[in-house]
Amino acid sequence: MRRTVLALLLAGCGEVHFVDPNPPRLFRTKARFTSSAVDEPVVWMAVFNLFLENTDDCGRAKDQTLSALRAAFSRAGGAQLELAVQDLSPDCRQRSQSLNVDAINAAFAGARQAFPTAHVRPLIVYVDDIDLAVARPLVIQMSSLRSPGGTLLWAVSFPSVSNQLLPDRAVEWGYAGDPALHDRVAALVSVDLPLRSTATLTSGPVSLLAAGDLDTTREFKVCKVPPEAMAGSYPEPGAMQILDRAHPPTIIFHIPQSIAIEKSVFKNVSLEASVEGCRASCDRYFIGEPGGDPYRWDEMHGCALGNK
Amino acid sequence: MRALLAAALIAPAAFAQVRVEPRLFVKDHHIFVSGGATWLERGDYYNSPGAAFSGAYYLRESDALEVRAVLFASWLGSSGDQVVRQTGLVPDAHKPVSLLAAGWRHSLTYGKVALAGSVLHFDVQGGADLGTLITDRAFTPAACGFFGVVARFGDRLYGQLDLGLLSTLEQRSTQVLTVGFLPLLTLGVRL
Repeated sequence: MRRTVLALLLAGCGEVHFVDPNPPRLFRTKARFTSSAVDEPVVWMAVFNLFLENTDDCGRAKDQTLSALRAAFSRAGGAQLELAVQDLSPDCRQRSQSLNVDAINAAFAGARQAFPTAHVRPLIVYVDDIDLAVARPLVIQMSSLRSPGGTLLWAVSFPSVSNQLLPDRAVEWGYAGDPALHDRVAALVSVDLPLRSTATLTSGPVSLLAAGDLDTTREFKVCKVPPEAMAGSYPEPGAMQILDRAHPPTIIFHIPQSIAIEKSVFKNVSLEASVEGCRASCDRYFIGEPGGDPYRWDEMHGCALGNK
Repeated sequence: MRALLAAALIAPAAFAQVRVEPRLFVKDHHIFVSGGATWLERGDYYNSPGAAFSGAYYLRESDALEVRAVLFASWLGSSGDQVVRQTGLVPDAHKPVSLLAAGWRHSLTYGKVALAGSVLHFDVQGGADLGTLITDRAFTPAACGFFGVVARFGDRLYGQLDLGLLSTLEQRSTQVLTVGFLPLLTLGVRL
């Protein structure tokens, strides 16, 4: 205690640090790019597997169901292609145990030719009115059509069937001619369709400095880039660069691709690179914290205001 | 009888040796003004000598209101100057320019001492001032506590030595509380 008081008397107190009277005038900014999306054409096919007690109603039941589906799918907008219906029980007397896979694949191939530049991901709407599990071969065939990222399956059926087929979306079957079927399907359409894909493979050149900063910046450093940054498309991170206003610095991002994803799941990707700019006194000392070591900003490697 | 006679003969001389000297250094209801030199030492790389002026009015013999003004002639010391010349870096401490303060001083005790054939009358005093230390960058709040001696040199002439601690709140790289040593030596007159 006496020693502390003595020290106070002799030397005073209050920390004194050396600072640069003209420190580098730094700022941080971020070069951002947000990907965009394109709508894919809606290509769909109804597969009917109906059994009716009164077979006289077979045709009418199918017509009403198909009409409901068409009206619902028309809400998706954009390019659409309805493929020919696959009717597994033409007379509604017996539920079929298998699909005509070749015919379905042929229809899908035709759709892809119809939209050569698009990512066609067909959608099967399987309609089944029996509260009973379907035959095993049909399940296997349906599964084979649905390779990952391949055909989508919506089931209009009882839970006993949808629990077996595990469709992407399930709509509860009511009864033949149910006017509410349209609304249930349309609700799904509005949420998921049209399918969306990432618009481009790369961002193209993205300016590292905003237009307003280009006028005032003398030197800059790239601080941090995401893994999606294209190698060689941007200056070496951490190294000081003298700004050439005639050739503003840019960066190119590879964009993670999402192909023909349900609208509800699709998300645009945002990518950003951080940049530290210097407006004046760039060769002067930067001192990170009181008492910290001084570094000449243009000679030090890395960004002074943190590498975030 | 002889003893009584002897006592009667020596008594006036004996009584003449026992005196009570009246207080010579009287301050009650007087104004004291003085000027002198000071040095602020607070470890800030600056050499800060200064000219000090003070005035005090004694409300009673032991208490006074006082004002102080100090003008500093500060310059960067050799070690700080060397850093500036070599790197361009400067201390973040402010350069003291002047001190303005007002406060109270109190006489703790009165005394006198024989010095070179004369008697020096003095007060031991303490006190505190509040004010501002004006620097090259800002007006900073300041508080000063001191302890010292006020000595009478003549009918009206007096000297004053205060040993003070000056504390200021200063915005450097961060806001810091500084404490410095502030001795003041002044010579003044009683009005």
